[in-house]
Amino acid sequence: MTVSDDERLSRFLFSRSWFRPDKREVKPNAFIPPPDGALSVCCTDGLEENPVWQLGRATATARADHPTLYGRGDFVARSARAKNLRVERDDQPRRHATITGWPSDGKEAIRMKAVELAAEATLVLLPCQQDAE
Amino acid sequence: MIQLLTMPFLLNEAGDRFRPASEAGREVDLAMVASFDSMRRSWTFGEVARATLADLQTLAEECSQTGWDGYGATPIGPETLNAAERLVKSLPFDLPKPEASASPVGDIALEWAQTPRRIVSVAISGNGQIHFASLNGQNREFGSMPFDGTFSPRLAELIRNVLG
Repeated sequence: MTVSDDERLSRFLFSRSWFRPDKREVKPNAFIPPPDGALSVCCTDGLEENPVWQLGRATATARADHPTLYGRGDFVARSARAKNLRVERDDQPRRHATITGWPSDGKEAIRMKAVELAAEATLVLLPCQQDAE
Repeated sequence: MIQLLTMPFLLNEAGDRFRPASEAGREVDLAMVASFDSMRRSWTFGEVARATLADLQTLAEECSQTGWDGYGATPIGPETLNAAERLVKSLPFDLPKPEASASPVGDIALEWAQTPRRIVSVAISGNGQIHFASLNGQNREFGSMPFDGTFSPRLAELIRNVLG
């Protein structure tokens, strides 16, 4: 399924070290891809808040160690494509997409793109986390 | 007040400082240098490093298992923690405390950010290799270098620029 440029994508955050709650910012490490080069995101465009968090919780419960969900970084697909990255929806699981096409010439080039993606992302904290912060 | 009085001395490169001409003046100068070296190791000026090192310990504990990020991340290993600690200990004293975070590939990043568009992100791997990226408005710069125990003057300059 094609992801349009204006579609909202969400990167769920399971590490406290990936965001600055006081400044409402997502840190670059949230957008560094794993060793296989496929950064997991969810297509959340058009969804109300509750269904979005349900997707996040489903992502967590699908993992063996059930990581704690803290929040998400929202951005539009255009942000990734403008950096020559590919956004591909695979619906494995539902609404899942990957961001691929990361530079192969060094971690520094990947970090640069992650810094730029983070600069364009909006931090949304899970409501209970918001209260805690 | 102490910082106000001593920072210019601490920040200046040795070559920029006033050099006394007389022998007595040089002795006073040497004593001052020894005194400031001691100050660098003191509680006040070592606090940034101490607090950051504590953050690194916490981070390493939180990210010690495979998949700590919910997506199958590589754990932070002892080599990476050790390299990050050495990097922190090499930080120039005028730089403020960085934020530490872990990357999914097992690196540790130290970051200085004024805003998301004014940021320097310096990551170090277990093999001691540094990868950095800096965004300062429209200016972007990235690169890598081996960490030889000395904090890169170029990185320090980038950090001062984004925070300035």
